[in-house]
Formats: sequence, structure tokens, C-alpha cells
Amino acid sequence: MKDSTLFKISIVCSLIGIFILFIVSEKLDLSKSDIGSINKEMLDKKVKVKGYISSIAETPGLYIINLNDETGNITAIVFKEESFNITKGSIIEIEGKVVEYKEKLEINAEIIRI
Amino acid sequence: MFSQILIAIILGSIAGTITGLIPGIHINLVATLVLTSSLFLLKFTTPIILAIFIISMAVLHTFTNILPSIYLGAPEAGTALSVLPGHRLLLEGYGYEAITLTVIGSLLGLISIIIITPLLLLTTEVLYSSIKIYIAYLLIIVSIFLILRDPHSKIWAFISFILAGVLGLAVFGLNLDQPLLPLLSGLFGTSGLILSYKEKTKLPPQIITKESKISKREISKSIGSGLFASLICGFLPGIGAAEAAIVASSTSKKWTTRSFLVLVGSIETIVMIMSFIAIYTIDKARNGAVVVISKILETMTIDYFLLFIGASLVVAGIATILTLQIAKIFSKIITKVNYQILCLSIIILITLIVIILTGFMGFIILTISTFVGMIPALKGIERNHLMGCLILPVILFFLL
Repeated sequence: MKDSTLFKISIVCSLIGIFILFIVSEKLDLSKSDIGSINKEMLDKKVKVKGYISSIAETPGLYIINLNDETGNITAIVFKEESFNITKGSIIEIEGKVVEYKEKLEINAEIIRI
Repeated sequence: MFSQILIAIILGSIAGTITGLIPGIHINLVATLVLTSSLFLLKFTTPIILAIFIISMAVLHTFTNILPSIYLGAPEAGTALSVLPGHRLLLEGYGYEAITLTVIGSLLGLISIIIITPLLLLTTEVLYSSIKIYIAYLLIIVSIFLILRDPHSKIWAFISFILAGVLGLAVFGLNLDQPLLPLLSGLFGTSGLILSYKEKTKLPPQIITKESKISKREISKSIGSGLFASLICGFLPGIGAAEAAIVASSTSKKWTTRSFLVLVGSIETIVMIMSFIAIYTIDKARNGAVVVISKILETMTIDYFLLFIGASLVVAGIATILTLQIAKIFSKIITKVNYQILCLSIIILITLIVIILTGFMGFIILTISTFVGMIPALKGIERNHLMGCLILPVILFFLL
């Protein structure tokens, strides 16, 4: 087999790989949801929401944040792995899983962008 | 996300090149470093991006780790069988062609396994659940087959297997953080380097060929046999690329040096891709890198699996070009450097890495495993019997 043939195969291989990565990553990229649109059908699914903090409570292990946008509000639970510089009124973006706690929907935050 | 994936692939490819080129530095080591620093890294990225970094490193490693195996005689477990045929071509001045042949095997092997992946996704779970209870017995049968198949000395093959196995049991019993590093570095790295150093090898000028002397039919046979053996061995714990290569080589008696190198090259990459299939279908991690991925990712979804396949294809393309370019550089400089000093430098490097990462106990393991690792070469038997260091503990784990 010629080296040039091997190069051609490797380039085709890479291009197919890039195509697969592009298609799947587009699918995986979370589009932003309105807080008001989060419902029980989204339980255990990942969502991305953006809003302002209307209240924030701190416990020894986590922060409990009330996040609002123009469509509604939701509680987001942030486990304390680091300290955040967030205060009431801050605008943040949260990615996390929708869970149910005491018959209310919440988001278990995994990624926070301030 | 797409740009982050591409960055992870590039960084993983760089890491895989380094781990492949330096004997003794295994992907498991880097993967473990990623895991231990994941809390910090996850502030900047997501678990899937870290997983793609590890996948890229692992796939690229299966291409580049052949370079020290053939040019320095310092293989890892998976490339141990390539040393003799590869070194033979190197001594004839065809080191570059030897590398090209293994790269042909790796690239076409990867494409072949990806083509049959849909079939494997459908059948693996059923097949695995039906053979699960027989794994220990299958491993015993494969081990006996490998020992009896040794053409030089079955007794020494048995002794090597048991010695390596007992050594493996002792090392795993020590609860070290990195038991495999000193164990495999000694059995497959420093032992071979010491023997190369002693032989005072003089290399002829190396020829950079533009075409490998192998027919399409021979390539098809090598890839087919590699695929067959990997499917049999790939899901068995402890059984790696070296054992799969032995099983594959039994499918025919007419192996030329060149077709055997294609076979060995294909198997390591196929076994790596199969470990991704195993973690997705049966939730079993078959190597250290995949263990780390399973710890980083909470769940494996079909989308993640597709990202792994896509990343593997991209990396295979990069690895092919990169490995051949590095081989060209190696071919030019290998005859100019003092081979003895080179071997000695790598022995010192491996020893230092082992001492830094595993301490004095690691150094003791490295010394003992180096002596055990020399037995096959001194007795003229095949090196794969040393894989007893992993196979025997796994057999006992399933039996007891």
C-alpha cells in the first residue's frame, strides 16, 4: 500500500469523524429554556435557564437560589464545592437537572455562569 | 460545544503522542491525573469534554506506542509481539516500513470495527451475559492455549506465566496507587531495554519507503484475523491486545513479517474501540482509561458513544499522519545517536518516573519485574506469557 493512499484514507476518516462530532454536538448543546416552560415532563432532563436572583439562602452544604425571568421563577440548588460571588439581583445562567422536591420542581445546578 | 470538543481532541492527541513515545508513561497515568484534578477542571469544562480528551489520548496512544517498541525495543504489553518482527525490519534498514505497516493495521482496524459497531451494539449484551459465568474458565483455556502454543519451551512459558501471575497478585495486594506502572514498566519496558543495551546493537542506515511491500489480500487477512480475535478476547478482563494477537496468529500458519505487523497494529486499536463499546453496552470498563471515563461521566448515553466514535475517527486520521512523520524523524536520527546511551537514558528515565510516582516500593516492584521480564528473551520464549501478571489475578478474582 502506498503512503499517499494511507494519507487519503486518514483524511476521509477525520472528515467523517468531524461530521459526526458536529451533528451530535449540535444535538447535545442545550438551548436556553424559559423558566415558566419547565414542567413535570422535563423531570430528570437537563435544562439551561438564565435569570436574576430574587433571593438566596446559604446552608452548610448548599445554596438555595430563587431564580426569576420574565416567564416565572424556580428554585435552584447549588452544592457547595466552591464559594460564589453572587448576591440578590445578580444575573446568572444555570445548567442542571430538573428534579422534584416536596411536589415542587427544582433544578440541581451542575454548571453556573455569572 | 463543538469547538470545545476539537480543543479536547487536539490536547488529547498531544498527550497521546507523549505517552506513546515515552516508554513507561501509560495513558492510565494521565487519565488518573485527569480524574484527580477533575473537580478543578470541571470549573472550566464539562465531563464529556474531559472524556473526549481521554478517548483521544487513548486512541492516539495505540498508534504512537509502536515507535519505542520498534526503534528502541521498549514495548508495552500490547505491543510486545511487534518487537521481534519490527526489530528484524529495523535491522534490515526498514524501520519506517515496519511503523507504516502497524499504522495501516491501526487505521484500517479502527475503520473495520466502527463499521460493525451497530451489530456489536445489538449483540454484545446478550453474548456477554451468556459467557459471564464462564469467564474464569475461558481465561484458563486461553492461558493454557498460549502456553502450549509456545514453539520453544512450554515449561519456561508456564514458569514465566506463573511467576508473572504471582508477582501481579503480590503487587495488587500492596494497595498502591499506581500498581501497573512499575509492574508493566519492568516486565515489558526496562527488561527489554537492558537486553538491547547488552546486545550492543548497531543499526544500518534507514530507508524511507513510499510504499509498503504488502498486498491488499494480506492486509485484508490481517485485519480480518485481528477483528476475529479481538471480538473473542476484547470482552474478557485481563486479556489484552498481546493475547488477542496470539489467538489471531493461530488462524493461519502463513504469517509474513509484514502481515504480522499489520495484525498487531490492528488489534491494539480494535481492542481500545471495543472497550468503548463494552462500557456502553455492558457497563464494564476494560482498561484504566475507560475506568476513569466511567467515573467522570455519570451515565453513558448513545450521544456520548457517538461522540466517542467521531473523536476516534478524527484522532485516527491525525495519528496516521503524525506517527509516520515522527517515524521519518526517528529513522533519520536513530543511526546517528549512540544506541547504548539512548537505551541507558530511557532506563534511567523510567526508573525516575517510577520512583517519583510510586516511591521506594514502586522501585522494588520495578526491579523484580525487570528480572522476571528478562526470562522470555533469555529462554527464547514469547513475551506474552508475562501477561499472567494480569490474567492470573483476574482468574482468581472470578473463581474465589
